[in-house]
Amino acid sequence: MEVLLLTIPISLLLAAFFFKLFVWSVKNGQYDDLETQKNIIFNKVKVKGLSNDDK
Amino acid sequence: MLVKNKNLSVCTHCGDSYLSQESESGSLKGFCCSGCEVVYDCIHNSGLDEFYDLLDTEKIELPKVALSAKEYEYLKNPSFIKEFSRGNRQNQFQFYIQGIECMACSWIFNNLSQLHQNVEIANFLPESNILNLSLKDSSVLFDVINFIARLGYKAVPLKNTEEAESYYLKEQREDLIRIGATGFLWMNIMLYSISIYSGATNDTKYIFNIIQSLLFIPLFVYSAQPFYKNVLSGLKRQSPSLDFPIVISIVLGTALSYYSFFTGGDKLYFDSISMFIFLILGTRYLLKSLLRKEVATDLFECVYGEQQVCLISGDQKSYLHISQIKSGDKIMVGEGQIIPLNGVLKSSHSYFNESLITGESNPVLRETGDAVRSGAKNLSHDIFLQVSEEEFSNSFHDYVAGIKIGSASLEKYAKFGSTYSVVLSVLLILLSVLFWINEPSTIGYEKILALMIICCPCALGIGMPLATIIKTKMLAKKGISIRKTNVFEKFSSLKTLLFDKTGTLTTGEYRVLNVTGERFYLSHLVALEKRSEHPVGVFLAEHFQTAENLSLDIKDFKETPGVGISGIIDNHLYSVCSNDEGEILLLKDQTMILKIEMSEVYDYENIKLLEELSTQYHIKILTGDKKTNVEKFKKSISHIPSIIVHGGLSPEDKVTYLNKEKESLYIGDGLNDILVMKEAELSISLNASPLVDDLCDIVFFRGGLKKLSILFKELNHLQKSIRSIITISIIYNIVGITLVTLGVTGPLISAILMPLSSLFVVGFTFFKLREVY
Repeated sequence: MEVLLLTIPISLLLAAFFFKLFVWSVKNGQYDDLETQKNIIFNKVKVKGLSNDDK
Repeated sequence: MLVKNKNLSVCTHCGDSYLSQESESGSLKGFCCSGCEVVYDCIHNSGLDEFYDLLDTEKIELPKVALSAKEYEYLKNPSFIKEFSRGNRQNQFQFYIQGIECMACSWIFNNLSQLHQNVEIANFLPESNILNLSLKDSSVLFDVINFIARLGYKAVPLKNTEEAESYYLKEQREDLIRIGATGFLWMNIMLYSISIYSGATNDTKYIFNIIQSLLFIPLFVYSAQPFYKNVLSGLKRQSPSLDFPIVISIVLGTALSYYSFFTGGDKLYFDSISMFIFLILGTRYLLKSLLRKEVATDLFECVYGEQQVCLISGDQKSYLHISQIKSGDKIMVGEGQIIPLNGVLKSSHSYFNESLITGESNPVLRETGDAVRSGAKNLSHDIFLQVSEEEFSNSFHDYVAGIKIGSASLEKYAKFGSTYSVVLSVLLILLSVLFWINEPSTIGYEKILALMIICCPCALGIGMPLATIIKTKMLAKKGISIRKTNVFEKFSSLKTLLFDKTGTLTTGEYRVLNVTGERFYLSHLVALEKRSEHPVGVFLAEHFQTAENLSLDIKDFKETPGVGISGIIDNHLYSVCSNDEGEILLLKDQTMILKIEMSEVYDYENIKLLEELSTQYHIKILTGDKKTNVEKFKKSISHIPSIIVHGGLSPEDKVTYLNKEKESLYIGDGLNDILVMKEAELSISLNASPLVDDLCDIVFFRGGLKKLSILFKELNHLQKSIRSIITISIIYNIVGITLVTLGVTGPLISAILMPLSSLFVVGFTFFKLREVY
């Protein structure tokens, strides 16, 4: 029984920690634009043997 | 494998560098992967090798000068750049690009930096047709937009909307965090409630209950906040909010649970309520982002009309963007242009076509000092106006904006569905309270709570508007643009179809059979017809347009719909009209000098379509054509006796016919039908042009009349779908209520069933409206 006094705060702290992580990721803009990414594949262009990434 | 055995090669198809086997290096063609090889084979075997030459973008030749370059003079103006640019260096701009429909076009815009040396970064958002440009510096803006015009696109500058965007973003983030918090709290509450359900007793149970009730506080206060807000604003607007039953359930459930907790009872519904809140928040969020995605594309559809205005200060002309013109400014409007802003005529008298504003298509004479309204077309010569917004309460731009707002009235559907169901469910709750309140145990409360939760009428409120939005979007993809929302309601009561003939049922193409008279005067004919908006005029102007044509100055040009056009050239009055045989005549001072014999090209597929439609609707054909043409046409549809053809009608006559028919749909090719379209209950234009787009209910962007059968099919389908959505939600509610009344379902199950019903209806709507064709 007494172990609950230890595990419950730990579980709540863990939950709080992951919630904090989630809030951080939202505020960091990671969920802002879920549309553009899927189109990026079309934007890669090759000019004279070089890709965008190489420039 | 060892790297030293490999060489760095360039893939023949994609141009990427890759490591090739030594043995391969000798051959001319090499590929980085088998995918590239397959694609190369396809292209090569189809004889399309030119594709690889075109990849070298410098070889693509664009027209040297854009036709519309003159429209963009205002981009050179420093005050425009100051107002429309973003970023510290004033080098970032946002444009709305009109007419983009495919990935290839969007590809071009995303690669502008490769195509134009002055573009640093280009980012095109295909969902909203918005192009974000970052340039080397602001002075090259005109070059870049001119380049875009040469590619064939019109770019409309957008003012700095960062504020609105950041507001949306903020709201979206808040929503997400709220859902996240609710999820975390709900899951933790579940941990303890499940332990209790599985048999935790005494102290453990007591501790768990305390934790649950503590965890529930932020849920009640923070997570459910949007519902409270909606109910409050609903009360202010005096229309019941969809959230009203939700809030009652939450508040009552919470009160019962805390009462039970403090009195030592064990009826705690924290788990049910938190799940309920979480699932509803989640469905709302999904729906919100879906709606934004579906509706966003139409946001700027209405950006029409002149963007550039020529400002006169002293003797100097300068070009400004329309938003920069202030009241009192003096502007110049060229011949054939649409008046951008209300004003007072400062130069000599001029004729205007005000059909867009008044519906009257006869040219109207305005004298110096008269007020001229925006939206009127200047027919005579270049004029000067003093801008005065006070003259009229509604400008053309407000009018267009009004139509834009009209598309947001989809909410009406939601309201219609929800108002009744909210009232109904509140009544049900009251009844159940009266019925069960005296039951001895807590079973009574449990039933009330379960009933309240299951009655929330989200399904109806969500399903109907969603179906309409999806269908509108789907039709848009097929080239059919629904401009007004009441189209769907009006469609169901449709009885009569009225067709315009020329250009609608016929192809709008003609054959010139014979020209008699002095061919020298063809230049005069072309000069006059160039200003005409009648399909025959447009055809003649194009058909006889040659390099040898003289450039002629026309004074007092007049177009009388149903009669013809006239104008003064070199002090002689020239007029074009048609005789009873349908031949086109050019008259010089009332004497015939040129006669053109023509015949229309019929489209037999359209006649077949008429035959199909005549089984369901009364069909009437209204045309301004002379007898001979009408007789010819009647012959071609003689196998469908139910169709009535009225010939020789002026636009005003057409309106008179139209008013006789109730519940009718008018289908025309735009341009010369503006008056009729404005009056018709429902109208379809086969031509997309800024002039008619906002007056019509439906516009076909491409494909002509053949789109009509698609439209009818889709609209019928939508009606059926909405009917089944309503049926499904009613059945769902009846089943739910029965289960609760019989005591089969408790609050926990109801809390799952209710949001599930919303999800189910959304899913069902998508399923019903998926693309079948």
